[in-house]
Amino acid sequence: MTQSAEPESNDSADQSVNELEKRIAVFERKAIREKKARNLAENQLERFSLEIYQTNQSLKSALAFSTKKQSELEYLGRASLGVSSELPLDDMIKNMVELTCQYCSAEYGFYFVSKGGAAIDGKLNDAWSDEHGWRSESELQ
Amino acid sequence: MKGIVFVKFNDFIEELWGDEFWDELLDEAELPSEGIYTTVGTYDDQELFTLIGLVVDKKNISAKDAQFAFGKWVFKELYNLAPPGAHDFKDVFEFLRAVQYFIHVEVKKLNPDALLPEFEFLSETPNQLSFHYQSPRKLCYFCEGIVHGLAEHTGQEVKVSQSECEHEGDQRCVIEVEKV
Repeated sequence: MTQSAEPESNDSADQSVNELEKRIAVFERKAIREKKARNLAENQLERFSLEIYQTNQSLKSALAFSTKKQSELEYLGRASLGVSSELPLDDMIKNMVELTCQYCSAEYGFYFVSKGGAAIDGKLNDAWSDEHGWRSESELQ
Repeated sequence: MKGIVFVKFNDFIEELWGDEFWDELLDEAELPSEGIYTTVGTYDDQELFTLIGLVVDKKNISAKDAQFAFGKWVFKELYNLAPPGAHDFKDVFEFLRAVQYFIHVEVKKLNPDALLPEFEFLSETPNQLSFHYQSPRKLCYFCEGIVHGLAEHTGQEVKVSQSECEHEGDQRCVIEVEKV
């Protein structure tokens, strides 16, 4: 009895070792798959976020470009309206000075008309300012 | 096919038959992806069919039952991942219509290339809804299972059948859902 029981218990020990080894192998393969899956997912996310960043940058520059174009068009549109208006020449030029200053974000603006190097027209003493509109030189000081 | 389907199929098989069985499937399937699935990836449809084919052989069940069981199980998993607003439904029919007009739109937003089944609604009464299931993947049994999973979720009892099915020699698949 004892003689036959010994090899049997060895067998069952071998069997459970085999089973454990099999379990370990399954776990090992599972762990390797999990790790590879994580790397894949991380790489993919890196790529996606880079793409999103680049798309965002190009959208920003496209927006800046079109905003600039839009303000240029607005300026040109209003300028051509001003030129075709029925206003006296003086007022028309004044409007143009205002418009141009606003377009360039200039704080002050004035104009004069010259002929042969000498000023012949324009209000040399008047200047437009963003804050006060048209004022004479003395008022501005 | 989206990685989520594969990741969930993996969970489903492990829950049902353990990770050794899943390991055995992968070992025999010799898949291009090696079974390394992530939800952010996309994988060849054929991989799923290969895996289902192996399950069918090893467990001696029909492909129909395998697809159906997976569909029924996966509903709650996908439902938990659905975008905000997809959870305000209490009725099977209401949800089925929303899948087409709302949820698939959400999926397309995030995955513009996603290939989604189309539902063409053919008739509806308060207790009966029938729709034409259109998908090149021909996973109509999977779809039947999902409808069952949905009904389980809403607490409604439904009978799902197909009056026409491509696998039965018909030109198209028409899924009939009946509240009982």
